Amino acid sequence: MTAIKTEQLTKRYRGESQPALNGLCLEVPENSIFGFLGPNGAGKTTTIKILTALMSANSGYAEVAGIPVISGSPDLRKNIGYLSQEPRMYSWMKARELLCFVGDIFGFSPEERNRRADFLLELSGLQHAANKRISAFSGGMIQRLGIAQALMGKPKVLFLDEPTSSLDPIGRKEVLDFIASLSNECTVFMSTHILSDVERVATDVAIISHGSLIVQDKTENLLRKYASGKLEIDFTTADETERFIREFNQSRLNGKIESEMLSITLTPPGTAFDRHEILQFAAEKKFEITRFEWVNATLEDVFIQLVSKKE
Amino acid sequence: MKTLLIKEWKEQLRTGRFWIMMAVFVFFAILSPLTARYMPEIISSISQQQQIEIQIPEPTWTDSVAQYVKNISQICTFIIILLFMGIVVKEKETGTAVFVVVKPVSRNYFILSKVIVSFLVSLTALSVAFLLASAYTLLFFGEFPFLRFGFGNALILLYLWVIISTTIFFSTVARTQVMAAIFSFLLWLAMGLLAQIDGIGVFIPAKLISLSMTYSVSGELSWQALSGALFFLALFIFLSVFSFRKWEPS
Repeated sequence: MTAIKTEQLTKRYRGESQPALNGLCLEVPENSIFGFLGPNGAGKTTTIKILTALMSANSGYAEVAGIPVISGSPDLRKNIGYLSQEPRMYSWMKARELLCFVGDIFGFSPEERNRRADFLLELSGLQHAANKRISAFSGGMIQRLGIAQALMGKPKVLFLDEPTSSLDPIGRKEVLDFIASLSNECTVFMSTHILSDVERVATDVAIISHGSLIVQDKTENLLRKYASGKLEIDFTTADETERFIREFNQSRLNGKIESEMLSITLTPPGTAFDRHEILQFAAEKKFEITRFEWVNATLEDVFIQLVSKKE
Repeated sequence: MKTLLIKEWKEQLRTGRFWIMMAVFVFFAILSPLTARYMPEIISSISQQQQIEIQIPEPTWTDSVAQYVKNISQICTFIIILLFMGIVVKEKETGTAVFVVVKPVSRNYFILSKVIVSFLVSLTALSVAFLLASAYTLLFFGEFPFLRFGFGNALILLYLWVIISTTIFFSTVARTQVMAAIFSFLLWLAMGLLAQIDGIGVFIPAKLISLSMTYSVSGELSWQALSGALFFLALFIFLSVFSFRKWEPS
């Protein structure tokens, strides 16, 4: 089942020469945590604003939870939750009061509204601050409350626009743990440029650049297809590092070497890499090695490779 | 709609808008009869000290009403524009408007709830002001036409609602609170000037102020200003709703 589908979505802002979205085609699987990646200005926020009916596209088609996206459609808005890039809520309200306000908007009965507010306060770890004014909340608490309010209406699809970009490491961890716990609740569509966050929680990833899709796949498939790991070797002395580079270049082994004083990083030419051969080579030549480690590819490697290719 | 109305009302109370408005109206409701009653005495004591002879007629309840109408229509209108200039644009600036409209809420209701609650706040403030001004006028000047003064206040309320609806409109279309305030003040001044023009002047809502005074004193009523005010009220509410429906967050 598809939670979000877009076909040739195009948006051009008045006075801008380049379109913000240029024929974007996406299919987001249901109940996935979908990482929507792209450099700044790639069109991530514009996509979310169109999908949440806050903005209209110039052309193309989009549907969310099986409902065509039409600006002002109440059906659509009953089925989505949204947290903006810098979540702003009524700071004069208290946390529980805000959730109850949202529950009332969705037309819940008082019992259901209170039950859901309590459940979400617990899920977001904010029970202790339920009766605290939002103006006194920290950045991490506001973000978690923002996600909780977006979940209040039991959305089928939750849109999170850069949910961790303004947070300190502790706040980021809190929010990512919260997002990871949502996989059974709904489909999460999360835009970000913090690749490690996506790698940590996303089951599926799409990368866009200049308003169009570069690639979309399962996170593990992307890592397997588009990036290989690296071998990192540390030596006891700089002379040993130099000797390794010299001997390696004279050998039949292949790979790109980047070196520093006491260490090298060896990147394989393709995706396949026989690290045992290197280990055997190092043992035969009796290099004085202090660390020999295979480092798996990261989404950052995939991102840089694909985006720089496109640009 | 009910949820938004409750939220708006709470917001007016907790952000202090309601209390500021109440304080200003109460202040001028008490000050106006006091000024009318004691100003001649103050002036005459000053003139005696300066050895100048000034003939000041004995103040009556009409002076109290005139003072009240002048204060409410000038200083209180000024305060109303300042209090309501950010009612929509601030929500657009801070992102709380997006927070609401992305949920299953009608954009029409978003604006209408603000209009209705602002009207209720001004109604409450003016009602208290009217009762206080009446009590003090009665105390200082004895009997006066309470019911006619009440209807005069209804005309002032209609005038204040026109001012609120124009401020809400500018707050909906402006990019900043300052811009909303500037446009609202300019329109307020323009209405004051237009009201002086023969022919169309009688239809301008600013005429309601002099009408309020005339009615309180003599019971004479002109329906042109009333119909003009209702037209402007409906027009600016419609324009606010219409422009907010078209709004796309940047």
